[in-house]
Amino acid sequence: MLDSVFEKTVWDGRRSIWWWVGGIGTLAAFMVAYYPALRDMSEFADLLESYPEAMLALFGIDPAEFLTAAGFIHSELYSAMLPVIFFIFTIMRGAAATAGEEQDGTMDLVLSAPVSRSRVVVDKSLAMAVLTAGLGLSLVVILLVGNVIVDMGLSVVGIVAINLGLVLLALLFGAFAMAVGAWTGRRVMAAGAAAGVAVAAFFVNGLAALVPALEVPQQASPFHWLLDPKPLITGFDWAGIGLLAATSAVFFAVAVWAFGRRDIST
Amino acid sequence: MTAAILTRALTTYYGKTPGIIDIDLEVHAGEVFGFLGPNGAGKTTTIRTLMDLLRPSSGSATILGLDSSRDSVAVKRRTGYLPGDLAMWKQMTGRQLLLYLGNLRGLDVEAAVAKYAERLDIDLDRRVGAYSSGNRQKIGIIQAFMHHPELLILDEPSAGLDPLMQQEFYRMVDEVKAQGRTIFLSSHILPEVERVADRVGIVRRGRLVAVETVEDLKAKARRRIDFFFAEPVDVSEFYSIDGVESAESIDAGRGVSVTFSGAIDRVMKTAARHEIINVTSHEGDLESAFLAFYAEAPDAR
Repeated sequence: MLDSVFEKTVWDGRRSIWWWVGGIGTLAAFMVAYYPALRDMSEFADLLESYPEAMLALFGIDPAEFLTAAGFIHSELYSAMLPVIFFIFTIMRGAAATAGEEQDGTMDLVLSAPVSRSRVVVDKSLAMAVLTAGLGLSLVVILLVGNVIVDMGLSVVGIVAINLGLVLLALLFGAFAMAVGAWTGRRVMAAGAAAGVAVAAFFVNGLAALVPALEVPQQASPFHWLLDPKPLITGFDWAGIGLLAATSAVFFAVAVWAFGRRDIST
Repeated sequence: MTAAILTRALTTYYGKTPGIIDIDLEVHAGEVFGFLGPNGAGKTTTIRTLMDLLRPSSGSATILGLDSSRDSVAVKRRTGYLPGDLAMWKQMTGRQLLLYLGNLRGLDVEAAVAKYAERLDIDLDRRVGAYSSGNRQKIGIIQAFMHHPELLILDEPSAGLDPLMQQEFYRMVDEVKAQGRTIFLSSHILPEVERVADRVGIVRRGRLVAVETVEDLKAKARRRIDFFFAEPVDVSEFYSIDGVESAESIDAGRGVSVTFSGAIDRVMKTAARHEIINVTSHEGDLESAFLAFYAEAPDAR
């Protein structure tokens, strides 16, 4: 066992991943279980109308769709909560990838083996992708099961599509953290910069419906690429998926390049 | 024969401060080379540059005929490296860590690991985080030796080892040398380098100030011997001896403290003309033993 930096990195995450799966699973199961009660609550539609428009926009709530199963799950799970949880997961891993290992002092040991620096970054990127995909897969399973039990009528294609997009969105910010960490060798800076960018991108997308000045910057927000096509309802949006994947790939490439050119700190 | 390590005007900056300046070093294949200097002199910077963890600002380093940066993966395949600031994954057991590092080399090191663990008397099934610093150092030594590399680059290898384990480590170094393999090790402890090395490079403030055989180094080392005699002795008897720097009267004239470098023979014979009650010898630390000597000619190579 543990034949590569990739396997070692996955192995490092072997315990914490179950906490993440447990937390995310509980959240998703709770929302699914809550839906029938909400659907049967006739006053809820009126209540929604009374909420400030800003709040509805920020949390991706469309009153016309909110009481459909897909609209509810899209807004409640995928518009804010899951993306935030997912990008926290990937940003932590991205910042730890090279910067964390450098600051812990263990990078000397990794690089004393005949493993190139680019290989180290690639292996750690792959490990992050696999673990994040595992989280996404657990959500797919929970929604598929919940869909049957609660009879929500969600489309299977939509469930797969939204989770694929979610995983890619998270990897994008994780790759950004990894690139900053590879550039600076500083874990806190990597996590802070990536979290800052992620939160800014989230608000730009959420507030664009209210603030016309944000409509142009919104086009650059990965949240816009993921959420606006409403993949849970409409299925795969290849343009959005392509943008998310390509941007992630660029950040991963920057990480490889940045880590290859630097002095390793101790 | 290709030199094990060859550097040409190797200079590495840490930010804007120079870590090492113009190091010209040649380590022959098959020798044990000691890299001696006080802490902060540039030993670790040199070693981490050789291992491609730091990039030279100018100059070059060739290891086993390969460029230290461009061919670093090939270099590492053939070398074992013990970091000076050894940090390891605390949640792994010693065995997991060593087998993992072996796997990164594509080698099954299980038998070698078991053999070295027995020699160094360490339980590999405990977590690295639970080890004492001496035990962590043993793991570090094992990972550098376990794949039988042609060249071992060891940064302060005996740090934290108890005296018994230091002796075992010296035997491991002797074995590597007997097999014709090369060891480059840094140290700030003179007797250690005298014990294991064939040649010594002395580094001071980022510069290599001298390369000597251990014999020549011993001849240059400054030491102090205090003689205590049965009756008062005239200290001037010692002044004329070659290599004596000072001779002072101690113990109310019945003792002489002689500081000298080089051959001890004349000093002892001069003292032996009188009845000697006691002798104490002081091995100076590195600073007083050499660095004052080399500081007088900082650019001597």
